[in-house]
Amino acid sequence: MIEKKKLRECAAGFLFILPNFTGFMIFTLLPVCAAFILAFYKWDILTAPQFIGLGNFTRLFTDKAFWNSFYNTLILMTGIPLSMAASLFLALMVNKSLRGIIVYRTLYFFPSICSGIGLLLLWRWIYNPDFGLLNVLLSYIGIDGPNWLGSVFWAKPALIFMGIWTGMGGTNMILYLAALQGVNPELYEAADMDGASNWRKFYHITLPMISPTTFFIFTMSIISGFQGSFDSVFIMTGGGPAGSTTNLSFHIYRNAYELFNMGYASSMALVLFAIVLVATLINWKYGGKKVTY
Amino acid sequence: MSFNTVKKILLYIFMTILAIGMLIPFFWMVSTSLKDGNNVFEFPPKWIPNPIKWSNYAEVWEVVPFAAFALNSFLLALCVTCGQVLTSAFAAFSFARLNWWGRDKVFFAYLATMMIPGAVTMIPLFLLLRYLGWIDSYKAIIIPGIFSAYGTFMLRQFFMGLPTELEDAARIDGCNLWEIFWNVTIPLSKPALATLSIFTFLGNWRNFQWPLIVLQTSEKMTLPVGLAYFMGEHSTKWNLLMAGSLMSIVPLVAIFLIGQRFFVKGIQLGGVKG
Amino acid sequence: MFNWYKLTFLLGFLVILFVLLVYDRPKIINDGKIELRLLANPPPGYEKKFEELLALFEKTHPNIRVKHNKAPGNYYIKVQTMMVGKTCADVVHFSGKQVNSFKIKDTLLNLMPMIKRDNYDLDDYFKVGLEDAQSTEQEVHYLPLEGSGTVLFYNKDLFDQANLSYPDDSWTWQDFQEAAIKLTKDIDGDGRIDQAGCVVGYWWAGAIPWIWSNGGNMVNTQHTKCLLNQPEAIEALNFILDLERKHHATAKSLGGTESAGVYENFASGRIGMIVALAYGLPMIMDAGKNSNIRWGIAMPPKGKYGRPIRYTSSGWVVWSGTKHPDEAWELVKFLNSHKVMKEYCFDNYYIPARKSIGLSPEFRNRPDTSFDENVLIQSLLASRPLDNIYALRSISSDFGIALDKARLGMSDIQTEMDKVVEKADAALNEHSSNNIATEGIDHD
Repeated sequence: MIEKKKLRECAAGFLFILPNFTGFMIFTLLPVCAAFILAFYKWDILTAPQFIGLGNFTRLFTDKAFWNSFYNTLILMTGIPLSMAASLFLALMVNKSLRGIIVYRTLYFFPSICSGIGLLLLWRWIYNPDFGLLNVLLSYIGIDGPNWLGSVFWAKPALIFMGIWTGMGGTNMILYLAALQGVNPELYEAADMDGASNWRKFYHITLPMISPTTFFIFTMSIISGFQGSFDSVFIMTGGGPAGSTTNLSFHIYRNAYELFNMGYASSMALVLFAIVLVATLINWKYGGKKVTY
Repeated sequence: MSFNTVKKILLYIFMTILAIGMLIPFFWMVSTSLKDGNNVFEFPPKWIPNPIKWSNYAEVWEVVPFAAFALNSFLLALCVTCGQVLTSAFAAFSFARLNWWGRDKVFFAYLATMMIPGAVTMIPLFLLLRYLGWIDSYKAIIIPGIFSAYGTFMLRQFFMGLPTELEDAARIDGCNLWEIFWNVTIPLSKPALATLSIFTFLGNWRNFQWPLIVLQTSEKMTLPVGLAYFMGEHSTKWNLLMAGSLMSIVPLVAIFLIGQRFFVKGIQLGGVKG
Repeated sequence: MFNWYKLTFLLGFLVILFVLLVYDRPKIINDGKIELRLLANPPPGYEKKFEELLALFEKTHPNIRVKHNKAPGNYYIKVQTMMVGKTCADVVHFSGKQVNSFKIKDTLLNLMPMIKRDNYDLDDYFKVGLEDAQSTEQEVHYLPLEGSGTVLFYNKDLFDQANLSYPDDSWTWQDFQEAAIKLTKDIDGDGRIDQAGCVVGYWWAGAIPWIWSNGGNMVNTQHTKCLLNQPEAIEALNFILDLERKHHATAKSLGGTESAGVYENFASGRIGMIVALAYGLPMIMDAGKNSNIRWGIAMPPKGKYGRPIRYTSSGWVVWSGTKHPDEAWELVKFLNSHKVMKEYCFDNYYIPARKSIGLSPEFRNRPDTSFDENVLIQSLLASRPLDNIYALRSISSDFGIALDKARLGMSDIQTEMDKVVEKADAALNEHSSNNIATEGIDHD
């Protein structure tokens, strides 16, 4: 009897996932496998690929530019905890049932939808050291702003700051909002009756109840932090100055399309994938424990 | 005035200041969009342009077939959103609630595909679509867009967080999985579905690179591509670019406001007591 | 059981079906004409006029229909994907220096047979335009439409204020440096430079002409050795980098690439001189409408072996996989015809690739411009295109980063260039089979 039930659940499981899985296999998994296979070839896109075995990988491990971009990516990812905290803070604020709260939700969400090439060009101009908005505003309070995007020291913080500014009211805030909406109000009522302070309610009720969302956001941030964030680098700094903002996705892109080293780019993507996989696994094992369902 | 009212007012003031601060770049966009082309970079920067050229907004429509591109973008984003929410919901239910052989391994494969930068999968996917003959058709944008792993992952996490009491009750009542899915899980997931819809719509509305690569006819292009027409090799028409960008945001705000209504507190757990 | 959710999902499904099957129907036009696909981005503001030109072509060639496609943003990625998918447009607008990166033997049609067959007059083209894509007697894969050399833009008002005489043909590097220093001012005394003496493009393509002008070269004529670490090159690089490092005669922000606002800042009188390609002309003219500055152009200053002038052009190529090579060639001939080229260049203030237009008095004495077009032609005739070899991309990438490091004072230019040369020599050896060696430049 139990065997039959398990079999039926298996069958149901397969059926439910079939449409998605078919499409996923063909349009997502297949190109990824192709990209991995290309890592063992040398390909300039315009002529036939040549098999070179592990040639790309040996080159990769001694390539200073690759490790430099890896380092840059890690630095750029240090903004993640800050961004998550900011999103949570905003979500808590707009979760209140005050009048007109929808207006604030929309306003905070605005910077993240206002995106695209136009906005990135705007930020590049804002960071212009001589005539840009930021340094003009700083000069009103007597600070002589540096060359934000042209200085090796300031370029990465400038990108991090821009990322947090435009992203904090964005998708993460919405996710947290949805999660906060799902917390059972009875839990809070019970805590109130026990006389718990706001902080204790937050720490012992809110945080654990939204932990699946936190986990999701953190996982996605790690994944997209390692392999994403291409547009801002491309438009705002072009990887400079002196290669100090070249992150992994930009380096891979440049190798694939500007230096005609598609095979090498694929091998870098493969190594990157391995790194992200390990990071996600660690996050899963360790973070998964902290998630309460 | 009671203490609570004071707290409320302070809260409003704080939120407003925060909102203004966050929107400074946006104000600058508006200001630039109303400037004459020659005044965009004047120094010191002026917030209120002089003269104010409302005609920039009309000019955008003349240079770029804005209406056609907007319609294209809208239909594409709508289709991908519908498709993705639908298929992801089924898949997420399967991952979250059903136990089957190889489930976690397959889920990990889903996750794994998100860890690859798009730059290296773009050409293999392009070649695949070429083989299928879908180049220069919307199929090439919609179908791969529907099957991205993000939606499945997000909904899976959400479904796992739902309490199982209602489902168990339904099971005892004799409902099969299909009925449980439609009558229990989906209604409880309104916030998550709304969230996923908003994100997917947003992401696809702004999609620039892929439509550019895959479409070969100018009339089929999407809005971000149209806005890029203002950026030439040697010069950029900033004021028109900003005006166009602002106009293209309007539908997104509308979508957000509509989806907002689903973030209503307490709706899902009203049925569970004790 | 009735369920709102099921209904919504069903509706969504129907919408998808509708879009895929109805809205997205391929429109097949069966009029017996040959369809030529053209990929080109007309300059912003010129779109309508360009369509009119194409309509004119269709009228004079009634058996051809032109489908024009634009690709803003990353143009060459689109070209690459189209080529790899074998769906490339028949005629593509290309920048001269990109041509060789595209393995032209495999991807671009050699136009020479058709040129010979039609007795097409290649002599009417400025030689430097054809050299931009390394054309030879047997192989012409690219036909230039317009191109420009480096010029020196200067602000007459600022020169008057500083009591300096305007730049002219006698200027040397020293004169240039002195003028730049004198023109750099901190007007309101707040410690920040409000008026920059000069702007010299600090990206790799902007630095190479200075190396030439000092007697150096990027690579040797056989394209087997990189010469960027030779004394002549280092001297030239130190000269332009010192303008910022030692003399602080340039604007801070304009270091890496020519960023937004350079020409606008020039037009509002905050920059004394710019050494750049003539593509800035329409932008300065536009921006200068509001500010009434008086400005002019002159030849870049003399170095030991010439002036730092490089040439860059754009024009047309034909995809080698085209099904209609003859018709594609007709389109290219049309777009480069005397009439069309003249209109295109005059309207956009470009310098044409044909001698008959460029050297004509009509072009050299345009009444609607305040600058001297003769300088443009003079600069073009003294210019030289970059060594557009296949390995250029990887060399330029390293070179750019090295320049940045030296400019920011992180490192010494000689050590950086030694590193660049090491990698460049390896790249040159790897790609030696792809290069077309040129035996020196044969100027008009």
